[in-house]
Amino acid sequence: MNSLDDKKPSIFNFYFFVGLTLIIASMIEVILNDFLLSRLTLPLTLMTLIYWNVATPRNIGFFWTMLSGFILDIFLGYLLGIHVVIFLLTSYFSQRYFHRFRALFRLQQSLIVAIIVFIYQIYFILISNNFAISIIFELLILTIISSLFWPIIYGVLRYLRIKLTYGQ
Amino acid sequence: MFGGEHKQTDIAQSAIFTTGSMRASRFYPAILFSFLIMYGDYSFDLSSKIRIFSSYIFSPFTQIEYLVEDSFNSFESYFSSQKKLSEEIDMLRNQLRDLENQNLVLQNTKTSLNELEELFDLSKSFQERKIILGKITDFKKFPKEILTVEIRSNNVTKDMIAFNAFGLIGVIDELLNNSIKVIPLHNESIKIPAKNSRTLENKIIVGTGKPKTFLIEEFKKNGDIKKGDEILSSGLGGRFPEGFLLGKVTEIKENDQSNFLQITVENTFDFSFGSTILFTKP
Repeated sequence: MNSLDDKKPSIFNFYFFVGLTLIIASMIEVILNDFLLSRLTLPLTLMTLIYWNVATPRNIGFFWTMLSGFILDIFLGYLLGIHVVIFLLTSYFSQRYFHRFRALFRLQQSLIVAIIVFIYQIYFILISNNFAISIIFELLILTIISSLFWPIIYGVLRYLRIKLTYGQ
Repeated sequence: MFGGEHKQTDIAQSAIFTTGSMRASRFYPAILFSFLIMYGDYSFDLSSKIRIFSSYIFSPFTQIEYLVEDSFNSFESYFSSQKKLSEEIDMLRNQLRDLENQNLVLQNTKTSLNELEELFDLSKSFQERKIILGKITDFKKFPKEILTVEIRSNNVTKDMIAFNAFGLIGVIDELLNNSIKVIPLHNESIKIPAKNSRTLENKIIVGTGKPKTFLIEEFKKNGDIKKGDEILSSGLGGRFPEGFLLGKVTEIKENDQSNFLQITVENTFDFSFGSTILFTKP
């Protein structure tokens, strides 16, 4: 009767799994940044963070949010804390409105994520004082690509979460 | 059945009443902490130190690509006939590098020998006078041109004059332990008794402070002088030896408000040339 409860992993396992996915996402983002000939990045870490905040708001802690932010700051050459601030804000608002977000269709979610990514990229354009016509093009392209990536990230992380939680 | 009800309650609690881990009471300190870190990085450049440290830590991983490539190449070439050829090319390259180094050394030796030969030819004209050789160790251009020459003799006196392969180039400014400071003849403080080799007329030439350039002092307008006249040291006063070329007249300027001509004498002697300086008494 309690078979589902028995298969639940300990809170520490899940906590570390969330952290691991965030670190892997930030690593991929750093590697992609080297390959993409763009001044902006594909915000995989941000999207992973949104997913975990929406899916398991109680398990996503400050530590992993800040650590992944610091990793990006160090490897992408930003001032320490730039990514952390935006990640903390994203986490805060994602957790505040996760009920509404969960209720949306995947397409609507993609649109919301695209808006978040758009704001996120503008934040970096403002910080790096990188105003140019060409960057607007990059901004739009990366926002569209990010919204296309959202269902994939959502699907993969959901699959992994269910695997880890229920072993199915 | 009760377990199922319990699970439903648990899910409902988690889903509806949870506020997540990101409460405002935790969020504001975290934001403040981030700003503090940002300020720390801005003031003390923490991130570059962390970047250097992390690149040091991760260097084995970043080098893996090259290590694998090198290993693969050496493994592949070991079983191919190219190995011998590449080894031979490496050996020949090394030999070529050695030969180039030897060539450089020989060229330097040749230059030094030529310079010494010039100096010894020059020393023949000193007859029985004592000569002392020194090695140039330093040359300063500012605030004034000075050569520092290392010597191993204690017999150098301040009245000695300095020659290089070109000829007479300077006088001793300062005597130090095992070294001498030499200033050039074109220094503004130096006046040299000279004569025109064509007319044998005595005159005084003074340094201008510009390299290789002198002026003839107080040469009257009705005096006999032409461009190209050779000016030699006259030996008067005993400060400088007689008969050494000081330069050629290159410019004669006339001034209506003065009874004297302004005559420029130039030579081609490079003050800092070579590695050896010869000192002798005039």
